[in-house]
Amino acid sequence: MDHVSLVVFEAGQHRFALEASRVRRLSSTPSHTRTAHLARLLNLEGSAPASRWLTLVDGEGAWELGVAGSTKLIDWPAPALYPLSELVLVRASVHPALIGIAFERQHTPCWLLAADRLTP
Amino acid sequence: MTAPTMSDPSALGLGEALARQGEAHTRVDVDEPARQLVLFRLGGQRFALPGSAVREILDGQQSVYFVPGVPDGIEGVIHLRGAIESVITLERLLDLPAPPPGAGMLLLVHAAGIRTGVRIEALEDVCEVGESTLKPPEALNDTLAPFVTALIHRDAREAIALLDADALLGAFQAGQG
Repeated sequence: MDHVSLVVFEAGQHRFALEASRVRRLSSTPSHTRTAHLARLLNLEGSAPASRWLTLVDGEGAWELGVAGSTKLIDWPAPALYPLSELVLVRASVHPALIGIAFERQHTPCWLLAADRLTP
Repeated sequence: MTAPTMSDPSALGLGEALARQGEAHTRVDVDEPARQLVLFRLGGQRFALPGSAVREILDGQQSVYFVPGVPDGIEGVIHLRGAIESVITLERLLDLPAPPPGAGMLLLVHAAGIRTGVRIEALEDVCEVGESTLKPPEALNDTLAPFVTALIHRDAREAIALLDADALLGAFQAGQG
């Protein structure tokens, strides 16, 4: 079955995932000057402090995305990944990086993020 | 000598009255165009959507997943048979009392080029009404006026406001609600 390798983590009360190929490095402390906590980028309330830092790359170079909770690498079945509905995607208050949702049996859904739409 | 009766001689017999009443509710003028409508309650008031815009009626028990960042008018998304559908609430757009979270049923509505679940308080009926029962809306407030195309006086209760599905979903696409 086709699958997508995802790095899964938490922020606020939600689970999120980035395509693993977009994550250059994972560390417990930030080492770059350009950083941002995912909870702040998405305006999430009640998020724990960042406990992991994912190194991503944008047009200005490497930067680190802070996330909470444990971080897992999961090969997610492609048929279980869904784009968000158009009505949600057009709303300005929804961060443009939020592009889809993934379902996993017995677990809360996981929100899919486009790494190239995140920037500190 | 005939026994006196207590009845008004001009009154209808019970059987006739019931027959007339039943006929009033079932009679369809075959020459009159009819519209299929889905009647429901929202914020304690009666509304309708054209049946052509309602693709499915769901029992409302689906898990609704809150999407980070969505405004109050979007309850979240549901996973419906392999597709993700948004769920919206109309109360904010129509200036009605906010519904209890997750209560009621869902209508899967297709209009303005999109499909979405619409949370309703309760389903009243799915029926056909003659075009003559649709009356132009009058004296609507500025909030309701853009979204109500007709008023339906179907029974002795308050009129039913027929909603314009394209206008409703168009408003959501434009950032209202």
